[in-house]
Amino acid sequence: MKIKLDVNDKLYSLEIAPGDFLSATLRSLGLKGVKIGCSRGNCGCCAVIVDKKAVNSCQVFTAQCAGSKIYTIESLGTIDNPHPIQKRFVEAGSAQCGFCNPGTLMAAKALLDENPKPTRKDISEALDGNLCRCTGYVKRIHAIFDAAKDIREGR
Amino acid sequence: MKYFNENNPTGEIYMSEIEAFYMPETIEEVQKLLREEGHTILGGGTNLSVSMPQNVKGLISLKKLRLNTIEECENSYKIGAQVVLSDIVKHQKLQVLWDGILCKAACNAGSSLNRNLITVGGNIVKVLYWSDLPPVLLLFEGNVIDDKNEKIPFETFFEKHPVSLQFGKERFVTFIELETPRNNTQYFWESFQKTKVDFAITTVCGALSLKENRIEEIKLSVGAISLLPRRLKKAEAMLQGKMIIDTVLMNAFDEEFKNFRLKYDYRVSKEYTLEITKNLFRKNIMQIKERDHEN
Repeated sequence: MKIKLDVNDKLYSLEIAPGDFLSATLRSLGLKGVKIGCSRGNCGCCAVIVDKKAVNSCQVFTAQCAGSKIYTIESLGTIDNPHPIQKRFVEAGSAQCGFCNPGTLMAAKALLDENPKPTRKDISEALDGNLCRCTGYVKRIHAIFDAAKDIREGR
Repeated sequence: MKYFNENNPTGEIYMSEIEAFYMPETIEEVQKLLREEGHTILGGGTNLSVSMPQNVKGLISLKKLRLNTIEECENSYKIGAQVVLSDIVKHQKLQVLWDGILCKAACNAGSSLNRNLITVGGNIVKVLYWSDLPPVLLLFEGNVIDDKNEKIPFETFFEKHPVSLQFGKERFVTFIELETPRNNTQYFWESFQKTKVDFAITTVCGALSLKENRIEEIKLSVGAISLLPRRLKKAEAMLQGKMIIDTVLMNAFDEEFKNFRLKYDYRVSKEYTLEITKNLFRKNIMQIKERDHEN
């Protein structure tokens, strides 16, 4: 089937199978920041933002996303100009293997877009679906808390 | 089943059985599609992405029907079938109504990433034993509304099972309608599980009003311990009009669970499940009694 997909503010005309999942479609577009972990909606590595909500892209059929606005980690920042959340992740040492980072960062972005002044509990709850097996959970909460402050202060 | 596409070096994943995906714009179009063999309604898709039911060839998305609203009516709330659980959790008025138990139950489902996808319609039609909304809805006065605007009381809906009522085959949920609570009713909800993201081992819910230290009205329900959520009518009858005393409570729950058909759960023994369930009920009812005394 033919579909138009709006990803990172770019419109793609695609030929997909009706049973394709968004995680696979995004990776086939070269957006390899979308990591496929469990493929069952448990780990959060493939999290992207669809219509302002962070979701596991392995649980969403691509066809469902026609007419939606999708954002992946590739939209967040660049090496030269990282997003405040990315900056704070680096400073806090909140990445070891880094496999979970794209999903975690997108879940954090969705949270800060909706709630610019989250508490540490809000952050912890918003990231409860993003598993990290090496760095742990404390540093990333500090990083997002500080990033929220940076964004509020326009830094 | 999910398959890795061997022809694609990125190892992309797809559901090979699905031959068509529809996004109809009217209820009539959905009804027409649903009559065709092998078609099913897509809720949030969280269950389908793990295991697709057999013989499903076409998925029908309700996205364009705009069933994603939470509407406050005069004495009720009308919640669309496509409302996701995270929207219920964040709804400021629902956080307060029924002592917040609808939000607490919604917040217990999966992770925040899952709750952004799980829909009200999907959660109640699938009615998996760990589904979080059904035991709570059993306490409320209200109805499931189908595509022909027929209203089915929650109790009938869950007692008969949505599938035997032809939901997902010949009809589908468009809204649920919840009557706002009466002032003197107090509610509780508690779920017991090993970790935050684990499925519930047991879920207990209750609604009771007290008058002169006695139980004036009571409704109790359980989830997760049986294949379908259910009201505890024996215990309710035994507690009606009684004072809240430990022995009265335990007698009522002992009687209720004497011949209760528990679902097998590899994580816990039946004895453990029953003990936890009875004690959660007891604890929550005692807390309501204490709150009532304080007021």
